[in-house]
Amino acid sequence: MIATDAVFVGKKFNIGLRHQKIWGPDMAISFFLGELGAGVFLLSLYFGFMPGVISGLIVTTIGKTVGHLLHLGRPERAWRAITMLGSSWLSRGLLAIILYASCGGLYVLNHFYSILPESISDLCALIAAAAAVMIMLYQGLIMSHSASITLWASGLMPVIGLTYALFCGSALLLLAEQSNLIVIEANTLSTLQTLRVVLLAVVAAAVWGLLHAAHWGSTGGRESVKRLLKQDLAPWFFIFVVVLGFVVPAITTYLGLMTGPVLYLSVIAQISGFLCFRLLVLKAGNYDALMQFASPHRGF
Amino acid sequence: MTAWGMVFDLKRCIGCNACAVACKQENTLPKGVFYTKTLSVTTGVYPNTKKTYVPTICNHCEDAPCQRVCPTGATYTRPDGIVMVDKDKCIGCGSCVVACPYDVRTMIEREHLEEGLFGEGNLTDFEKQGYGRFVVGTVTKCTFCHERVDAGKEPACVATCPTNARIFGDLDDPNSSASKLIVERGGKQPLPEKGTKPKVYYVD
Amino acid sequence: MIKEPIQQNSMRPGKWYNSTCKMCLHTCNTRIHVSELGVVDKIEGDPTSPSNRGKLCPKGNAAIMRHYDPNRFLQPQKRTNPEKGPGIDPKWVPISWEEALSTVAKELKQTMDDDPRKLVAASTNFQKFAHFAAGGIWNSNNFFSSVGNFCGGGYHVINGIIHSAFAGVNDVERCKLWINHGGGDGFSSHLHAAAQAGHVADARMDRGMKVVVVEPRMSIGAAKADQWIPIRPATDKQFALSLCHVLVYQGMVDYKAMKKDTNAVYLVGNDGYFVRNAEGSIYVWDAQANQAKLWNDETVGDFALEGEYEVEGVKCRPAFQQFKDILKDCSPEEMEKITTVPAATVVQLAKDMYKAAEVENNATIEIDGRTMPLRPVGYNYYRGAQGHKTSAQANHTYKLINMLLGTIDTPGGHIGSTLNDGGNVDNGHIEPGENGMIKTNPHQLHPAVEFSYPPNETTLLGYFPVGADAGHLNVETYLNKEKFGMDFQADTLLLCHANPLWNMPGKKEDWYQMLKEMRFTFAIDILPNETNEWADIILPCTDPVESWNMCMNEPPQTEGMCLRQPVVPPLGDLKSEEDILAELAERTGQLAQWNTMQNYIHGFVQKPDLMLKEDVKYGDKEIAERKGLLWNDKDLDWYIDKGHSVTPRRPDKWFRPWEGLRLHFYIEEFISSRDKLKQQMEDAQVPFRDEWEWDDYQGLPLPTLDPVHEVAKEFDLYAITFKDIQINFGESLTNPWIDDIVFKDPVHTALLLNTATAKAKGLEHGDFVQLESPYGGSIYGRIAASEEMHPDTIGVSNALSRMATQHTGAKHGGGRFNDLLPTDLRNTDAVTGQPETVARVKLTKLKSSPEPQQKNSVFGFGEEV
Repeated sequence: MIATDAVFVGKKFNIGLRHQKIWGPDMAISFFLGELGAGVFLLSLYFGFMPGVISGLIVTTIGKTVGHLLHLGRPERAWRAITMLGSSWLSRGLLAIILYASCGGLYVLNHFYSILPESISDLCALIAAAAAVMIMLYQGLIMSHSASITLWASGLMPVIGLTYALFCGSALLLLAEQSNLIVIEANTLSTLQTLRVVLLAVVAAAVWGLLHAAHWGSTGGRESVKRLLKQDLAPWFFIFVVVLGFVVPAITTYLGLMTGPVLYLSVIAQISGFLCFRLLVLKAGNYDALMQFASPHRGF
Repeated sequence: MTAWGMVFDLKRCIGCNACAVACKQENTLPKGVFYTKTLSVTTGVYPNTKKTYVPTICNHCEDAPCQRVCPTGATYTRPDGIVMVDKDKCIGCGSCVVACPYDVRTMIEREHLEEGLFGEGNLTDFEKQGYGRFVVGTVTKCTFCHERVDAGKEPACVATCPTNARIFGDLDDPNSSASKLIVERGGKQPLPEKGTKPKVYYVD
Repeated sequence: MIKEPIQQNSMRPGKWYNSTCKMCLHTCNTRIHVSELGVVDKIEGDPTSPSNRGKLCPKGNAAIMRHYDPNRFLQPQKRTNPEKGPGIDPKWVPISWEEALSTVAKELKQTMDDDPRKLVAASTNFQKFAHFAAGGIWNSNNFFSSVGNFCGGGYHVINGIIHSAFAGVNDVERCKLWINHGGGDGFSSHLHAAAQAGHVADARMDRGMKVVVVEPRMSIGAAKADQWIPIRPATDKQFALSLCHVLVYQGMVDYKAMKKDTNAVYLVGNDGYFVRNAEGSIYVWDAQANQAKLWNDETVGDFALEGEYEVEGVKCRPAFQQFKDILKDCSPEEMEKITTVPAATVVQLAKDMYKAAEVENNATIEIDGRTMPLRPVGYNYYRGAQGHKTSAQANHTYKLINMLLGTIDTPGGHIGSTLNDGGNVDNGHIEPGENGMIKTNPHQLHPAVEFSYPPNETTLLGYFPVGADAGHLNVETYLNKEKFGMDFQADTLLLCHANPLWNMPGKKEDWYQMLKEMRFTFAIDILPNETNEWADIILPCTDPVESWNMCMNEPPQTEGMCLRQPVVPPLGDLKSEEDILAELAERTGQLAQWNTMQNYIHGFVQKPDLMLKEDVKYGDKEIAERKGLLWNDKDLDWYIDKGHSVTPRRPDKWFRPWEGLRLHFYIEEFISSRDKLKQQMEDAQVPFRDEWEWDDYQGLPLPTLDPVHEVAKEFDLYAITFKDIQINFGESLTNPWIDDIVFKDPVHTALLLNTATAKAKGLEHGDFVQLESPYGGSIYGRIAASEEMHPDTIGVSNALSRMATQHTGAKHGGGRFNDLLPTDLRNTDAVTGQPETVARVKLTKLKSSPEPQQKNSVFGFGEEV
């Protein structure tokens, strides 16, 4: 091979690419639940849908807590994770979750039992909303806080987190409306449907942008993209992330099929796309190779 | 200020991995865990094949991403530039493992300490003596043999290298052998584009 | 678990001991740390040693895990399962030392009284040299070991003839152009690997020494070399002859050295013998006076190297001329057809070597007040280049390259290194021979014994007048009793620090048959292995950190004694090898004989105060102490304090110790011993005398092809085996630290096949294949396509060859490489006993692995990413 080629070498004592292996499905699912819950929460808060606010709080808090405690090597020390607010997005994110759960919880409690003055309650809502935004951003910020794994090392990572969460959050609200769990008046419904489509375009563009940046970012990045688009992960990527995740909701919306089983299916489809994206982007991450020390000559 | 670093001489290295084994001895490393290892890369087409042996180790980066992402402050840099992990603070989140572009950090699992080098839980007296330094569920990595260095010795891998391909020294001292080697033979950092400012250099 | 503040083992409170490494047969100096808890927890090189200068190779660094291996024998064992076979549990049962020793002694006595020839001994400890002769305690000359497979065949014989030494290596301190042909000195193996790697690296970096490596695989040396010359396996002799052709035909020879320092000027008749007068003095031709004179005639004006003459009616030519005539057919163009090395490469290498040799400048150097020629080029070689059928001729050729350039034993050049200086305290290893030549000293490990028919030796040692190490012939004579006229068959096997089933060439089933039929087998060892699982009794011995020794084995440019001392008490109920052998000797009435043998082999006869008394048993400590005193009159306390007495070799013994004598350019001894043997065989009407390979004996090498090239076309690949510095010269493949680095290197986890060759055969990287040789052996493995292999060759790392199952943790590849090799006379060098070490194979693709890939399979991991 010529000097620019690199292959996957696993544990072998060869220079080459190595898959990222420490963050697996449990991390992916925690990230997914955290973002999805925060997206539902924020939109519900904005549009005033209490069931959404409550379920968003629960899904994020429990999803993140349980998922991450299961993943941590020393879960009993989890409290230490808040120590490095000055440098670590993980610490900042943990703070955000705490504020989200506490302020959001107080807001909900107040809604039912009126225990706070209105200004405080509004403040709680504001803080919880800000925290929700942070939650939707910080996971992508952690992943892109180092140039190590090229596929992740892009400013688009936090953007993807935020927009995917809102994209799926809006869809879930539409679903809740169809299931008569909440009441959305016609104008708002229309806004939500438009928001969903706009966000679809943004997420799709951001995902494309992520892959584009990775492809040109480094050899490792190029191999990540190859796996997603041409190799073992490609079927999953195309079926779930692209077709179910983007094409189905786009077409159903375009065709105006916004009710009944079709809506159910399109919402479930896009959420499965989101979850699959989270799983795949972790799986496809890899470390670059020290090919700079290989002899560059071409073999003659 | 001291800034400990290392230089690898690729012309000398014969890829024997005596360094890796000396480190395993020195640090009672479990099976499959390496703080340092020497890799090889082959390019070209027969008969114009070229093969290079490339030692690798934690680069004790000056802008260490592992430290940047660590939420507990477990990963920190000593005043002399050695990047350490406080095993009592680490929560095992693995952020540092994905943040390190060189993949030199290892999460210690239960199996590492229970299976033993010979398998089936048969721990040797050597392992029983030494495994206590590890905490399951925390991350571990090369410490430039900080205890040896503090006593004025060289890291174990440097001391044993049969071809003297590993040179340890103060990169802030222009007269150290390490610094001179970097200047005289054009030392290159590994993956410099990752922006970590490694304190390990390669000369060839 | 003990949690302590100190984490690094070398910094724990404890004690450091000076000692010597035993992870291979060489003796690098070490320091061993034992913690306050009594745990051996760090081994480092000894920085005071001028040999390894504080460095250790990966094997030396892994020694602790040999000591703490839970599979170690901790008590004598008796076999309770009468069934014997590979992988069959011996069902060891612990017994007392008394029972163990008395049982073994009884059996040995029985064999000795019945027929001592029936005892075969595999006892191969280079650091305890006397133990090589363990069989001799009970009057047996039968060696069941093949120490010589890859290293000891022709190599040692020729070193003994040319240098009166055991090994050879280039002068690392002055060499400017270092050639390694089929050997890894300075990179991966051979003489004091950790030490030499450092010296060679310094030579390359500090003095700009250039390295050229000739071999079929891109070994470590080839990877670091300035030039890799890939070569078809088993064509090394032809390559070397083509080099000689260029040197001789282009006049690139140190003629002065030829005329003064060698017997190349001696006249050889067409019958292969020197031309002698009635008193036996040899003739030369004085080119100036144009007449024949005796070799020591002071009036000789100019010794002729070339020409055809007639002396006393005998047609003759100088030996140099005879070589020149042989070389006529060895042009680089002709030899390229055999070796595939481009002719231009050979020509250039010859030119580079001649230029580096500084012959034309007549370069000289003064060392210790002695002015000598300076010839800073050395043609070094070993293992792969020496391991073929016409081994004597091949080894001879490599020496001739050096001799033509005047580099033999000369500063900067190719030096003979003596084996184990404790034995002879190098009073001077050169003795004058007849007619002004040096006295040859071939095969110092297994010197010749008297000819006998019926043969007294299972290895036919009596048929190798220059000595031999032909362990593989054990199975030939055992299974073909009638053909060889054997009037006995081995029935008792002594195993001491050996694993012959692992290294013997030929089909393992043949060896199993021999082992199965042994009446009694016992092993002195520390760990279970392929061979000692056949034993009836295990006598467990102390390991290298539990015992004493004093030796420096086969060092290149240093000499001295290296102490090994116990640093911890034995982990079990163990005795030292010395104690065990002394006990067995005493119980069988052979103690006096054993002590006499030791007095000679250890060299105590040179200082009679040190001699072992007939009726006293001496243990490892007493022997070690004496060896130290023998070397430099220093006692054990001195050695415990200093660790060693290693110094650079004395220049008068290292450089040109034969000054004033002549080297054997022409080896007449091969001709005379051939004819003597032929006569002896004829007189005794030996039935296989017509099958004996008489053409192998040549005074000068011929370009004849080794029979490995003449097999059926379907066996189109040449299979080679190899080791690297992690696994050479010892058994380290069950050491978890070694396994952890070896099985991560793809060079050691698959069969290496040139990428283009693989493609042409429709094979893909990762395919399983079967390799079969024309001699009935077969192995399997997974293919790795590689640019590091000559297209005609397939590489089988030694890491794939273990088969031990009982409590060893050994990882299995697809069988032993050595199963592919022949063991017959046709493929054995009649001169030196060297067996062919390259196998022709045919390759068949398999759908999948023929064996289930269990956890201990090499092929079971390494491929997943």
